[in-house]
Amino acid sequence: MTVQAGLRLTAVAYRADHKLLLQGITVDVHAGACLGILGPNGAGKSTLLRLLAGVLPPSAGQVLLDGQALQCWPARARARRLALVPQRTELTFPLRAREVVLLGRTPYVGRWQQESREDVRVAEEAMALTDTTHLAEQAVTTLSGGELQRVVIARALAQQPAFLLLDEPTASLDLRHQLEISSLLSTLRRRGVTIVLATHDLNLALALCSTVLLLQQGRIVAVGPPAAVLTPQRVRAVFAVDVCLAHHPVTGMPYLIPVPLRADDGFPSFTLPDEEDHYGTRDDSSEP
Amino acid sequence: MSMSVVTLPLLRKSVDVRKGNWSLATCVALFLGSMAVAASLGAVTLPLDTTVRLLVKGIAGLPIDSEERAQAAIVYLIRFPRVLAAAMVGAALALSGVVMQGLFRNPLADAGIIGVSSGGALGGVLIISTGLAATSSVALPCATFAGALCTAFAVYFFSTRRGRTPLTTLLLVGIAVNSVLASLTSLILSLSPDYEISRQMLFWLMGGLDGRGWTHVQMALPFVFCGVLPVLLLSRDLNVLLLGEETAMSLGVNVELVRRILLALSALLAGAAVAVSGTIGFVGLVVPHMMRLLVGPDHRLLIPAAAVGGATFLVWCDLLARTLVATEEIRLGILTACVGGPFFLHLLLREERRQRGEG
Repeated sequence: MTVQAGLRLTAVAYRADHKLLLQGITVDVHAGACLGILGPNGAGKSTLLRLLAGVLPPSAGQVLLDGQALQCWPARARARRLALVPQRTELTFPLRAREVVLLGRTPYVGRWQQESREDVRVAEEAMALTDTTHLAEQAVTTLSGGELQRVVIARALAQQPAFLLLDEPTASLDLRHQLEISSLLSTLRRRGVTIVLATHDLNLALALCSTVLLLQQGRIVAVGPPAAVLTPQRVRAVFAVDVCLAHHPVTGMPYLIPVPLRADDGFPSFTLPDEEDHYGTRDDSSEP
Repeated sequence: MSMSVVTLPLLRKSVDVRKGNWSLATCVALFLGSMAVAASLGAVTLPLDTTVRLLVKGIAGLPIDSEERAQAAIVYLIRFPRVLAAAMVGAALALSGVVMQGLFRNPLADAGIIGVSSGGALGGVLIISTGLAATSSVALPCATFAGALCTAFAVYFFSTRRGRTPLTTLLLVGIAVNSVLASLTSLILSLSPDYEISRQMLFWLMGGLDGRGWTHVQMALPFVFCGVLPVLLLSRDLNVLLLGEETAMSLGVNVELVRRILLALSALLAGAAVAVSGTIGFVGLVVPHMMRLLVGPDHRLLIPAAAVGGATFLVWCDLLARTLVATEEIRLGILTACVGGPFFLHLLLREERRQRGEG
């Protein structure tokens, strides 16, 4: 058996509360690739990302990191190889941005040690790369959504991961910050970081990803190069939206433009998957 | 990424650490001073220098002049052990508060509010009513620890879903648990046939430090010690837990295991405090919050700061309790509640606003 660097899922399924959230997921993420996970709400994007991060164990099948099952990796060694940027980071206590980024060095710092100069250097480089150096002394509870997201990405980069997993990294950001994150991710790719991102932004996937994986109700609909997977017909079938395939007037990249629904169009004839995202939504009981 | 950008925060960090260490050193100095002041004030007030001299002699076991015997007895046999007991209880309660707030990621978690202290009290009442408490000095703290531990895990399992503990759920579970435990405690009290044992239980339950001496210090010290050291070792993990369950897991922390260990440690600390003083509320709420303002939320500084701060806070509260009214002692629990109740409301309203602002 040849061992190669990369993430590999073989026939992975995930079940929660007797509900099959993912099934038959087989995909390879080669080192240096950028995989986009796409699909409507509730398709299982976040769950798939959590399985890849080793935060959830698969109910069936295997998730392999560099040829070894993720669950068999020592947790700290895994954290040096693979970092996760979750969809939401809720922070209750006013840690400073610098402190949060330095926590990314946790898998490198022993229980009896302080962070070394090297740890601080890596954290600062990560902050410079994400344009958060000027926020270093601010309490993270006072940051805007975009600033916090970049601090969280800096924290993940401080882990010096070979694989960076991001769950909707541009979801809460304004246009400028979306573009900044997008260009940051291409920079990281050029530096050899393998990226997996779950996103709703089809055009981001078209511009950034080497491979995309289209999910619907927990199954793979298609996987391959973005331009081959994201055909207007398939987008119509999966997202129930008509799109025109155009080209970006400046970059020349393929660009999908959604067609507005007509008022008398009603909802499409087939039922949409359950709107509630299995993990991403807040627990109802937290509402006062 | 020019070099100037890279080096500036590095300098800031070392300044920060130094500032934090200074704050901590100031806290320790304040604490030691408070102990001396508290030992010198009381029904008979002694000069501070005499108190310190007598304390040093007492601790070092040096001979004491015959004319100072009476004063030495007051300082070393009555007041100082009580001050120590106050310091220990304060440190234990504040630490258990810090740990619970970190692991529930909730600034309102506290041994009193979520019912852990009541659990300890029920354990204590049970062991006193059976008469087992008189047989061994470790029986009472063991019982309060067991009660606190069971309650802590019950609250954890009732209020935490998928690693999240919504504020309202935690507080409501706390109310329910507190009232169940309080009625069970009353039941045991009312069923107790022996008047002397009932009186003993009531005295202990009311929460205070009157009559506490060296035996109480010796009884609880090993428990507090066993709680403090591992908490210090887990301070970094507590920081990581603040980032949320998923992030903590992806950073290589065994979240479930660490949470359970921390929960057990906070119960151990709260249980030890209850064994000495009965239930004293709000210390675990007020002190961690004040210390967070002083040294920041990094647990590596916050934990020692909260321990020292909690000790100082309760030494002063107890001093007020026994000197404010000349002839009578005010219950210590009443004093801390007078400070802590409004403070709790303030924090609650602030959290409400924050959550509404976010949501």
